[in-house]
Amino acid sequence: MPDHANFEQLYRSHYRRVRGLCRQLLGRADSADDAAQEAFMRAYRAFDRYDPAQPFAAWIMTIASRYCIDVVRRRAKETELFRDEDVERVEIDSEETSTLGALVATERAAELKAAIASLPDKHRIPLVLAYFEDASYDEIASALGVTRNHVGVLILRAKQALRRAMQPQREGESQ
Amino acid sequence: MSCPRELEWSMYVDEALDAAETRRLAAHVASCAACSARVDALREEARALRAALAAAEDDVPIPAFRPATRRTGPVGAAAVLIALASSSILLGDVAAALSWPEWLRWLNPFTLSAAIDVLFAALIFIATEGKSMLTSTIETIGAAVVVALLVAAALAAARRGGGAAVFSAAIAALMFSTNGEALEIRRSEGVVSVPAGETVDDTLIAFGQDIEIDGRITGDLIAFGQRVVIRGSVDGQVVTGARRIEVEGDLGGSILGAAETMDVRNGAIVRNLYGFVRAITVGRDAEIGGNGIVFASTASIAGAIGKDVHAFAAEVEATGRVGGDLVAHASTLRVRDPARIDGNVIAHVADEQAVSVSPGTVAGNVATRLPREPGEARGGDAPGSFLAGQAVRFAAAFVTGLILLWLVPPFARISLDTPGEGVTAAGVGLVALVAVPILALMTAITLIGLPIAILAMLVWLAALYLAKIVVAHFIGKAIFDRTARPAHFALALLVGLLLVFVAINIPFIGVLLNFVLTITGLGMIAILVWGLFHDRDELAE
Repeated sequence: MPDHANFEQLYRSHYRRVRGLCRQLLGRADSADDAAQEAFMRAYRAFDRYDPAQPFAAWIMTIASRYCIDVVRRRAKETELFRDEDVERVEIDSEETSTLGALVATERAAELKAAIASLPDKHRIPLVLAYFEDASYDEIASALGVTRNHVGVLILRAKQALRRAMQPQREGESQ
Repeated sequence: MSCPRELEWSMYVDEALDAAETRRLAAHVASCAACSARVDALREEARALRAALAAAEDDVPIPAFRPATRRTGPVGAAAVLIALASSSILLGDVAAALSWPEWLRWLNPFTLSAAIDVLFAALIFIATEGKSMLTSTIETIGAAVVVALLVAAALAAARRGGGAAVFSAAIAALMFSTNGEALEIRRSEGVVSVPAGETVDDTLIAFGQDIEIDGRITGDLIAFGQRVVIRGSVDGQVVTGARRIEVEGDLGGSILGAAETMDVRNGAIVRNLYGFVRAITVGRDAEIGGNGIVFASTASIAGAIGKDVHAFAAEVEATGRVGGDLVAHASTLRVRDPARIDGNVIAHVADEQAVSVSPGTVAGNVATRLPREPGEARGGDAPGSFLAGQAVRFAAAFVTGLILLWLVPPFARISLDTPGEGVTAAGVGLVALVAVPILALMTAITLIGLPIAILAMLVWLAALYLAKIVVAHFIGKAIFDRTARPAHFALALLVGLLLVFVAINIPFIGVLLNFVLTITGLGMIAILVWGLFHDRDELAE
């Protein structure tokens, strides 16, 4: 049985990361604190069911991501939020832009973060789950209620959108 | 061989393809320079995205974790807890007022210490374990019944010495918990503390294992835990339930505490002290401006109390200063040096030897009131007070009955078609009367069963009080049914109660009638409740 007295300590050591996840998933900083608090509150209430053999980080991140996905869904007032992507059209605009390089990501980190934040919910959320929470495509698929392949499409869309967002200035620089 | 699509490469890099596809793409990469370069680029992109997302936000402040947000929950729970606390003790008064036959006295659950035991177990359980499970249930169902019982019990208690004080304690308990407009709620499984130097500018509601108040609270304090320690100051009232309560600070209002032990060591309480405890100590350096009203097994008063002391306790010992009267309902009362009682000492005890008062400690008179013999009480010497007492009990039963029938209409529809059913009801009632406490005791031995046992006993106590009311209504209804003129349930209840009250006050036979009516009523309630659940099951099928 997990000890509630430890919870405060777990909260302190995981708060920033959970808040980070909430901020990335929600795409805005203002509601991230509330979401993180709510995630910890839910974890606190369910703490009896937490298996200490599992890493706490994974558990709390799952709770936080589920909560944030719910928030986004409610915000969008649309349950099919992640499903309306046309899988077949992915190929059309592929390979028209080059992938993001490490140099760009470090030199224009703030710009890239802003670009991620301004992605549409349906693209940003799977991207964040994959590259921030390190969730597998299968985990993302079950969280969003879509197939694994669909997750692949959404993430690729996200990447392509980011490439485009970073592209014009890169062209401008080279001229 | 055509190259795989970008989607496949993206998923390949993220290790999201199944084994067969992964092998196929890996083989392709080994033989296609363009795709190999593409995979490298995608890997770099993934790393870049990870880095961008992971950019630390070390400067983000970590707000305090406050794991309690349901605003109504604790307030309602506190109100109900206090109501429960008050009523389970006051119920004792009701039971004492109801005349139990001598040979059934062992069945009377309403001895003070038993009531206190039940109370603590309930308080501690609810405060620490059962909050989520019990709060909502008790709030909705319990509150109505408990308040009804509380009113009835308080009315019955008002007949006795210190009744006004008891009543004011009960009302105060309810008042206290409703005035928290600005609330702060702190809940923790460990320690909830207001450290020295911190000022809480609100009413504070605290739930925790240990609650330690070293700072200042400008509003009221409502605290439930295993141990509550107040070393700082509280400007308002304090309502607290705990296994141990220790007060060393200054309180601007009154304190109402339910605990196993309550220790007022030093500091000043400006107004009154209400204690529902097993053992209470008011230390030599403690000062209470108002009255001290305590229900306890042992009460030891060494400090100063500005006004009166009303002690309902097995042992009362006073060595401190009392500005007014000392009224004790006790097995033993000792007033010893250096006590100084400015008013009178009134001892309600079983015999003269139970009172010992050191000479020179009492400024007024010392009066010993022995219990009246049962015969006396019923007969001659004070018919006026006897009738007044009966009237109060009657009114209490009537009001309770009205509320009961109004809240639970099926009680008004109870019918016994044949005499045989009456006997059945009495038999079921007898079984319920004896079996419930035994089963509860057995259940209570297992830790998990404790809450069930407590609930069962509370329900049993309530049912016992309601039993005669249910029977009375049934009798009243039967009479009106015979006249073929259906009456309002209130009228039926009134007539039935009158008959029952007359019947149970008939010398000798009344005792037996009282018992029979009680078990019959208990049986009726049991059968009715059983029937309600049974019907529901059938409907569900």
